[in-house]
Amino acid sequence: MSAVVENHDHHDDHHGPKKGLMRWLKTTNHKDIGTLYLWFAFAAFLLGGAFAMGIRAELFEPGLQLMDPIRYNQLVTMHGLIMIFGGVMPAFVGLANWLIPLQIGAPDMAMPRMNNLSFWLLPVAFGILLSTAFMEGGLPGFGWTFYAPLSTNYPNVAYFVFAIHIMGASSIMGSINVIVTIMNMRAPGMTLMKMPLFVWSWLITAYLLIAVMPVLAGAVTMLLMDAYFGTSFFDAAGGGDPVLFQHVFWFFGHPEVYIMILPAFGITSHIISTFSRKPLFGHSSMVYAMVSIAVLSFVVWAHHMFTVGMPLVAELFFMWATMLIAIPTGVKVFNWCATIFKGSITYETPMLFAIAFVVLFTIGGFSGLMLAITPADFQYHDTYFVVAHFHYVLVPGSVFSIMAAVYYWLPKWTGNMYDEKMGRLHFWLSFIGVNITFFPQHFVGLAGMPRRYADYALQFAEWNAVSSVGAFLFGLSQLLFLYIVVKTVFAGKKATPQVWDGADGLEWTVDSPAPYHTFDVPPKVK
Amino acid sequence: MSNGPLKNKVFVSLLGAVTFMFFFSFMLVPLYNVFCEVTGLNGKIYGPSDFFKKNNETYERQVNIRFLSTVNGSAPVTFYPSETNLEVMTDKVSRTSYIATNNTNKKLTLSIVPSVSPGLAAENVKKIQCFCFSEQTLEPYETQEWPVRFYVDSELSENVNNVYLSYTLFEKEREEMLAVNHEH
Amino acid sequence: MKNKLWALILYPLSFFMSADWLDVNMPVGVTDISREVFGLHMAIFFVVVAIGVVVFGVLFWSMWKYRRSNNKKPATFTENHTVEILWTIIPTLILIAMAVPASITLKKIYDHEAEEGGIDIQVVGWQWKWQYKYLDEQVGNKPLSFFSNLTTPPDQYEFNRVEKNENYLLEVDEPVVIPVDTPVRFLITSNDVIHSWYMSDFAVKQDAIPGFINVAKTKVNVPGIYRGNCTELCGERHAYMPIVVKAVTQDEYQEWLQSKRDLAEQIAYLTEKEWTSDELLATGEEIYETRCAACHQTNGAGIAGFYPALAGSDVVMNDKAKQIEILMEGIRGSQMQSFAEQLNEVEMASVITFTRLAWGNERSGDGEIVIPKDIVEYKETNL
Repeated sequence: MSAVVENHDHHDDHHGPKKGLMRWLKTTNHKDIGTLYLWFAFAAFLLGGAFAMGIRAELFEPGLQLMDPIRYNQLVTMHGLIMIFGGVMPAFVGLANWLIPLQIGAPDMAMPRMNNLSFWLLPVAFGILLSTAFMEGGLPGFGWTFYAPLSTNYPNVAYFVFAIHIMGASSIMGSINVIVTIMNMRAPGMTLMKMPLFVWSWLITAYLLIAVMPVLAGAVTMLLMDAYFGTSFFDAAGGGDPVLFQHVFWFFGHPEVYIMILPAFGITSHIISTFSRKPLFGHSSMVYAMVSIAVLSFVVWAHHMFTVGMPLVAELFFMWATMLIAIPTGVKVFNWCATIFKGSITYETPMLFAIAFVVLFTIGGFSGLMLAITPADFQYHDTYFVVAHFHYVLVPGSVFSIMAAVYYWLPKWTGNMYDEKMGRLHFWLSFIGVNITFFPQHFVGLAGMPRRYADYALQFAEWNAVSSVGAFLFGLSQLLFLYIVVKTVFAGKKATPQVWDGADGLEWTVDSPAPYHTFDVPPKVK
Repeated sequence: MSNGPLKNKVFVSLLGAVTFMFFFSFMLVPLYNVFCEVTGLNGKIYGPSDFFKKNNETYERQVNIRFLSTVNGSAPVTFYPSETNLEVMTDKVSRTSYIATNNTNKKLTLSIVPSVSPGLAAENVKKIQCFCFSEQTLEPYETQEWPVRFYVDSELSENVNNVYLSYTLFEKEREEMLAVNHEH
Repeated sequence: MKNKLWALILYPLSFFMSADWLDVNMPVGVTDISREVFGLHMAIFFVVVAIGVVVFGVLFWSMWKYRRSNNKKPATFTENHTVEILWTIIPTLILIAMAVPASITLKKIYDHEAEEGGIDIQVVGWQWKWQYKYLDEQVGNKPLSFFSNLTTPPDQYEFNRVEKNENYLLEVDEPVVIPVDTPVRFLITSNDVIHSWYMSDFAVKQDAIPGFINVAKTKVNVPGIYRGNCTELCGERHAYMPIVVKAVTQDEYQEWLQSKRDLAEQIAYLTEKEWTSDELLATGEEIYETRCAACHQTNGAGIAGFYPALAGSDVVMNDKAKQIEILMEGIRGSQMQSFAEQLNEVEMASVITFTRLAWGNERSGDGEIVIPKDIVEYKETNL
């Protein structure tokens, strides 16, 4: 993404970006770094998606047609790790980098050099993780949740641990950067409650990351020690407990899934308000709802563990606490609907993705509420019902919000409008694809098909075939997205600074494409 | 940030938070153990008990204890309780034993771990003497009888009348012995 | 050309017509608890459908009514306290209404107290099969214990070589037999990694954790054959360790127990007799397919880096004693388990003999067979 347009009004003690490869290696510019993160995430999305297509190809029919179960488990594991740590999280960080300084009227992030390091650690981490493919024993095959003791004795687990440590360091540094930036560099007049919701969502997400990424680091360190240094954190033989692993992991894991959705909430609020040409309904309750969700996310982790044999008291507590999260989440959904109600609405591509997010994420929330009911969860746990739930909240949830954000802000980043007809085509193909893929998974899950199964009994065949067809439709449609984005970088109808009639916020007061340096002089906010 | 990030209060406090959370995850290990002891989660029970520490008010009742055994990792040891069931009175010390046979011509070092179900009962099953307190060694082909002396204290929840005490045997070491003739 | 077009449409259509499309919901199951759980599931399902209909109804209606071409001037309101309070309170009340019956059912599930006539079965998850020990039933001087292995042959699941049978991936050699109308407590643990024992018809799912026991109680009301799965990723063959429970009348249960005792006697007798290598081979090949082929492969070639080849293996061809030792003791630190408990003397001898003679090993090696007495001898030297 070139942002070569220079603003002639400024005194020139900074130049435009360097030319060539070194620019990208050494950049401390938040726009460049945002671009790096976004392209990295797109590449990861395509790679993780390729693994998903491998999984669905194998699951198209009962039986092992394409691969042995060892390979299958590797695909399942890598699909999860790449999509979460390479796809969704870096994409949101990329959006944070591009948008937070622009939206608060700051010239850049608080710590630009650490920002560069945060990004470049990611390819290193993934290099380490993917290098296990060339080693004996191969890629990790223990699921992205890597429960002990399966993972403790698995080949090449040390490389997995190192990769996670490095990704964690990247996230932690990024989050520190985000919080320090937001707390210190808002333009004069921008109180916290005047801050745009995307910035709020990232402020909260960053605190969650600070709190729980170190816990993940602790979990993988304990795993490494059990595997190589003779400790028994998770080994009953030495007085340890495999269930301890699950507690530590999910203490990280649950807030992690909120980390992956809160920025989506922020994005959705911006887009729905813009295309309804109406201010967001209940701005402050949206903030409070996000804070409540974040706080509650710390006390519900064991709903991932209802079948490990916890005492009744614990199971009741986690059931009730989990059900509670539905309330602030519901408030947000209602507020989006109330924003649309009596608006003046147009349905450009970002709006299509945002509305699809509201509807389909809510469906994912419904299956989540069902999962919260512990006695029913004894039937759902570790079946495709869970897989359907989390794919609904992650794919037409997080991923759609990222796509919405890309369409919405691409004109600001590149100075060109994307092709609206193609954008809509991409939307409809994705929308149909995603539902054909994941809705039938509710059925096979309820009928009893377990997850992480390379092969399955005959009664699950029909819906699995449908799901696989949907997956291929969805997967191939993303190539259209790639084409649309690349094309827009280089060509398209010129965008105005405002871009969207109805858009509000400091980013829409600068040129499109945004100049390489913006807000060297902070704007005054009323 | 002309004074450098380290002068910024927010930055320093965030660094502190990160460090704290990392060590917190390690604190989860002893915290988990304490929590387990208090609530009986996962039926973990620890160490020997002093028989003489008890209340004067005792409400005696009968409890059924069932003994289970599991050999982990398909270790080549035959391991089973000498009796499957015992009816015991609360606060009264009972004795039972487990029998273990080494089915190989190698010396085996073993560790045995107890588990109580329901979890509620874990804190009420007090062991005075148990082979699970230390590692055990079995010479090639050797059979040993391992005693357990325990009591169920009367604070056991009224809802529980049946308790399962399970031992899992883990092989820690397998040592090849030089060829020896065995007289049996 | 026209015919080909019809074929293109009709063929997939026929596929869709004949299939099992109606398998879309949780089973009601055959226990009182499973029925309650089904009820909870349907209740929460209807609640969320109702909420969805209302919320999406309002949303879609708004999207149509307030499209720009129909409404040029957007409203400007950003709050409405009444509505906001209502849509916080009403969901809370709905949630409380759901939580109450859910908590009651959960408490019932957790009531593991023994009832009259109940039986206890210890369930041990192994990579990749289940072991069952009936703690109340003795066979000889030990509790009745057996392993339950998948019997679907590799030909059915590998590359569709052979058509799949009706119970594909859900059939075992030894089902768990329990009497109906009797409280059964499953005491679940694991031999190695975490597994999970799941019977959807009983609404029972508990994780099998090495070193710990988890209890699950059930009481089946209807005789029949019920099939379940392992539901915790446990390695390569996680999908290949099903559970089959046969619920029978009390009389049939006693008969089955007796047949198990008779079988034990028969094995003891069989161990004594003279065996020909053909007899051993027949049994041995069957056992190899079910118990060994998963890792060592049907052709004995193993998987490089994971499971050693048996075809052409020096130990298998030339070292009878070592091979017996490996099968009886396992190889510590590797995936090779001890099979001493999993195979009786006849089965053990048969499968070892099979490997020694198959895949050309007979020609290249010493070609010796192993008879059940050899296994007995190995065991006796250990006393």
